[in-house]
Amino acid sequence: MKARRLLSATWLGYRRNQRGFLLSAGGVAAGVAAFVYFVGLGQGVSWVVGERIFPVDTSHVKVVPQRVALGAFLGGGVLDDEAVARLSALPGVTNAYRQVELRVPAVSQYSGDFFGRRIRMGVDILAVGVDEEYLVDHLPPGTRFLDPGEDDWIAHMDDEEESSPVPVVVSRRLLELYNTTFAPARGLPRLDERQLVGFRFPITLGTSYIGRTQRMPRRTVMGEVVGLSDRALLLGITVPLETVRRWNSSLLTEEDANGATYSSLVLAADGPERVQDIIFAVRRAGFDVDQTEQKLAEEIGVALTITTLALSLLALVILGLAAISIARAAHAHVTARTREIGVMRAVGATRWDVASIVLAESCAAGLAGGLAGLLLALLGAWGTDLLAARYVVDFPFKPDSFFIFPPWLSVIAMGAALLAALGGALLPAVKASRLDPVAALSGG
Amino acid sequence: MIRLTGVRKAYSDGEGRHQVLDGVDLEVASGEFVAILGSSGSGKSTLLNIIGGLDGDFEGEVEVDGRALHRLEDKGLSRFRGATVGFVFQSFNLISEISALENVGLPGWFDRGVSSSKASVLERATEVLKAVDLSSKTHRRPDHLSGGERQRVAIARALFSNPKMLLCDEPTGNLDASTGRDVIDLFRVLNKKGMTLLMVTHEARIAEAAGRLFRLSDGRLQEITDERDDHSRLLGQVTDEAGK
Repeated sequence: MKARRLLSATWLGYRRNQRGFLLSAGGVAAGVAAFVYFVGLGQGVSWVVGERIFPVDTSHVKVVPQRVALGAFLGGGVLDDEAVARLSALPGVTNAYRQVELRVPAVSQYSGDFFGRRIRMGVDILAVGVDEEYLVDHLPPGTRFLDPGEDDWIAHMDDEEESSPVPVVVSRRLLELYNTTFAPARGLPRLDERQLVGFRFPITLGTSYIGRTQRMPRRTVMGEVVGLSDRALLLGITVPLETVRRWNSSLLTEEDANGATYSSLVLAADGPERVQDIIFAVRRAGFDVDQTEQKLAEEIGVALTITTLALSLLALVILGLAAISIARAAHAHVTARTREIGVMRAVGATRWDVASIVLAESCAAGLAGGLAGLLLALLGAWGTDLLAARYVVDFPFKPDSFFIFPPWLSVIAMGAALLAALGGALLPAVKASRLDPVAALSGG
Repeated sequence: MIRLTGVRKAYSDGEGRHQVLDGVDLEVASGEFVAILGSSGSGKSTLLNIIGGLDGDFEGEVEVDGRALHRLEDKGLSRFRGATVGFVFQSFNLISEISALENVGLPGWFDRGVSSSKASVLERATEVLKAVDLSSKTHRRPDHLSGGERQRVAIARALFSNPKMLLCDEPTGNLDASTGRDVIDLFRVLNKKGMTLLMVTHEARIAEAAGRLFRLSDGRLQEITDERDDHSRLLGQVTDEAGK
């Protein structure tokens, strides 16, 4: 039977049984809509978690000294230049980026114009120094991320023109937290990345608002935001490695400064598939691997996947029920058309012709339902985003849309719709094809 | 054209095995108009279904238009029906939701030939509707046609594929006498144009239109000769049986 004729037969079937067609298509639409909506939601939320909340670089391994330094006996435990050289030479490692934490307390006491608002505020500051190469690709072209040297010291705010500010990189996530929680609570303006670049603020070393600090000289420097990066310290500032080393050694004793060692070392693998081998090698060398963010991201990812799967399963159950509904409708339609099937057989229809007509009619219902379901899911997503934008208060990392609909999702959804339609119509089609023509002509 | 040799067919029901056809032999030449008379339940429809390839479950040999139906599988029988025979049924068997034109074009759905485009199907359907004098009612649905008109639509559908023979099962059974005569007149015209017709009926008056008459009784087929006395006697007997 030619495809065009099959279409005619399908159209005739629709004209004769519009109610059954709409019921079948409606069931499929409900299943497809639920499936696409939930998977799209899962994809969207997973993207936010993976790309914005925990932007983990899957090719990076963060090496830290062991908490219990048994490694010292094995030649490990201290992240000094010799250890960095050894770890950098591990198979699969393409780059190594050193990191040093600021070991002295620091605060920022800001008094003056803050993006159009006059403020007076002080906050404790955490800082980490990193190799320039670690951030250079994440900063605007031409950005200098180098230690300014001893010129960074200033006596007070007015000296800033005469000093060389310390380049500071801020985490995008910190800006998000500021915009969605800190700024609204304090009545401060929300900022975007472009506004923040070039912003200068004082950093006073050797003091803290939190708890008591040991007596040490105070020094004030000027920091200037040169860019934002997901690789920057989440709740603090990221500055050049040499700057932090210099600050530590100038304010602490040589022993406390521990100037020849590093807080951590980020190893870049030449592919995510090499990461496990590198982690094993790092541990064999007597060091630990900090996987806190990866593990948290993985745990949240697993929870999201399980939730999405459960909801998708629910949607598939709806599709299964739709298939049963299609089976019932097709069965009733075949029974009602028994004499007509007999006529078709009398004028030359083969068994396959009859079966293909029944299957084509159900497929048409499945396709129509699938398309309607896709449309419903998109409308549902649009409505959800609209409601969330209007009625859900801003929270960190709140996305503009909670949904992502990759092209493969539509393909899978339409495939599932067709499968449900075909699955439901299979038995009625077989029944119709096996009808004895003589019995069918006499009405069954 | 048609050759049946020792055709036997039995049905089993709750009361046991019922031999409907018990060694039927028949030969019909191309262009003949043959009527088979028999009372209700005598097996004449069964015989027609076997000749038309609708019923492939029988014993014996059936050869139609050079094809041995007893050797054909379901697919072969379907192709045979589509190309060689046209069926006319007592209850018309039209699809009520579509027009006369679409009903007539139904065989075109299953035509594997190159001329089965929509345009050629419509053209052919219009042509055969004109041949049965229904060209003014092509777009009417069967519900809006009289009984005679519906049967003529059914005949047009049977003629759609330009078959070599028409197999008519009680074609006037649902028509009044006058309309029935019109249908038989149409059959005569078709026969004069060379169409082979095989009609089963229990109405002797209708059967008289045929060139040759057979009587099916007790599973056996007996030809009714041309001698008027015997002819009338047998016709009367058949009519009496049908009336019982």
